[in-house]
Amino acid sequence: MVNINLSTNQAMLQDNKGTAAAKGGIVVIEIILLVVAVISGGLMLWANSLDNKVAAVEAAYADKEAGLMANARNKDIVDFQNRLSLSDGLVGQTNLTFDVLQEVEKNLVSGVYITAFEADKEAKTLKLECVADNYEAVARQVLSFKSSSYFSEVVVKSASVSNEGKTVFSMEIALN
Amino acid sequence: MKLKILLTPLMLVIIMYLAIWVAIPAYSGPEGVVAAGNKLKGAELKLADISLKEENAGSLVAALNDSSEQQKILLQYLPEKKTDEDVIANLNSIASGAGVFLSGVTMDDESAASVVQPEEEFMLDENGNEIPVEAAPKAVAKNFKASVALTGDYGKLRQFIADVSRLKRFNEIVSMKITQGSGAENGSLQMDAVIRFNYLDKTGSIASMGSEVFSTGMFDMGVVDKIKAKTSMDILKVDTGSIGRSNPFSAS
Repeated sequence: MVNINLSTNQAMLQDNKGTAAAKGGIVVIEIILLVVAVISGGLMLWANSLDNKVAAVEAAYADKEAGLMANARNKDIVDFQNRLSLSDGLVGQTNLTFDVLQEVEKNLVSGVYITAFEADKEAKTLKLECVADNYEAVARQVLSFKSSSYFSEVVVKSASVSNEGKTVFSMEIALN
Repeated sequence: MKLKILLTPLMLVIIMYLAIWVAIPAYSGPEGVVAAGNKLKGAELKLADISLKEENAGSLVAALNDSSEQQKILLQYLPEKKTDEDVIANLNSIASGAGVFLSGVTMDDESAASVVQPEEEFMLDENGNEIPVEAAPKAVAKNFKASVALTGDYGKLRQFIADVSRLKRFNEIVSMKITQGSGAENGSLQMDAVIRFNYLDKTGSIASMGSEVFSTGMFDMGVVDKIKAKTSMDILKVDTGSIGRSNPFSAS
C-alpha cells in the first residue's frame, strides 16, 4: 500500500484558492476605482460643458438686451408707456377741492352764509367761517355737514354773536 | 509583495476620495452638474424672454407709428417739459374767459426724483423656481405749483375752477381759500389757490428691458379715452411775437 501525503496537497490547494480570491478582490476594487474615476471625470467635464453653455447663452442674452436698449424707437416705446402708466393714475384722481366746494353748496342750510372757505387737499381739511341768523341755524348747519359722505368730522371751533346780532362761527371739517 | 499588500487599501482610499470629494461635489455641489443645469435653464428662459421682447418691440413700434393722435393727447396731458410759460398763459386766458381778475401768479418747484428704482423681480421656470429678472425703473413725474390770486364774484370764481379742472393738461387744485375781499360790498371775493402741474422728462435711456409693455407687446390706450372724456379746455400755446429791442428799459 502506497502512502500519499494528502494534507500537503490540501494546504497548497487552499493557498491557491486564497491567492485567487485575493486576486479577484483586487480586480473588483480596480474595476470600482476605474468606474468611480470615469464617473468623476465625466461629471467634471459635463459641469464644465454646462458652464460653457451658460456663458454662451448669457452672452447671447446680453447682446440682445444691449441691442434693444440702444434702439432709439424702443426708448420711444418706454417713454410712451411711462406716460400712459402715469396718466392712468392721474386721470383717475378726483378734483377734491372743487368737489368739496360743490358739496358745501349743496349742504348749506337756510339762514347761514360763508365768509371764508379754505380747503386743503393734502391736509384733507376744510375750514369755514360762516354767519348764521342764530344758534339754531348753526346747529342745523353742523348736522347737515355731518350727514354728508364727504366729511368725516365736523368741529365748531368758535361761535359768538356779533354787534349786528348775527351768530359768527368757524368750523373745521375733516375730509374723507 | 509589500507594495501589493498596500495597493488594496490605497485603492480603497482613492475610491472614497473620488466618490466623496470629487464625484458628489461634481454632481450636486454649488458648481456641480445639477446647479449648472438649473443655471442653464434659467439663462435659456431669460434668452427666450428677451427674444419674445425683441419680437414684441417690432409690433410696438408699428403701434407707435399708428398712434400719433393719442401721443399728442398724452404729451399735452403730461408734457415732456415744464412749459410754465404755457401755464401762465392758460391761467390768464381761463381767468379772462371766466371774467375774474388774475392779480398774481407765483411758481414753485417741488423736488422729486424722476425715476424710482424698483425692487428685484422674479420670473418662474417650469419647476416653479424663482429666476431674478431686471425690473424697469418706475418713472415719476416732476411737479410744480402755481399759486394764483384772483378777484371776482362767486359764480365767476367757480367757473374759473371748473375750467382749470377741464384743462387738457393735468392739474390738481391742492388748496383753495376764498374770502370776502375789500370789495365785499359788491359781492366780490378774493381767491387764493395753489394748483399743481407736472411733467415727465423724455426717456433718455433704457435702464433695463423689464418694462411690462415689452412682455405684452401692446399699449393700453384706454387711458387716452379717459383723458378725452375728462378734459375739454384746449391748451393755449405761447408765441413770442416780435422780438428784439434797442433799449431794453423802454416800453416801446
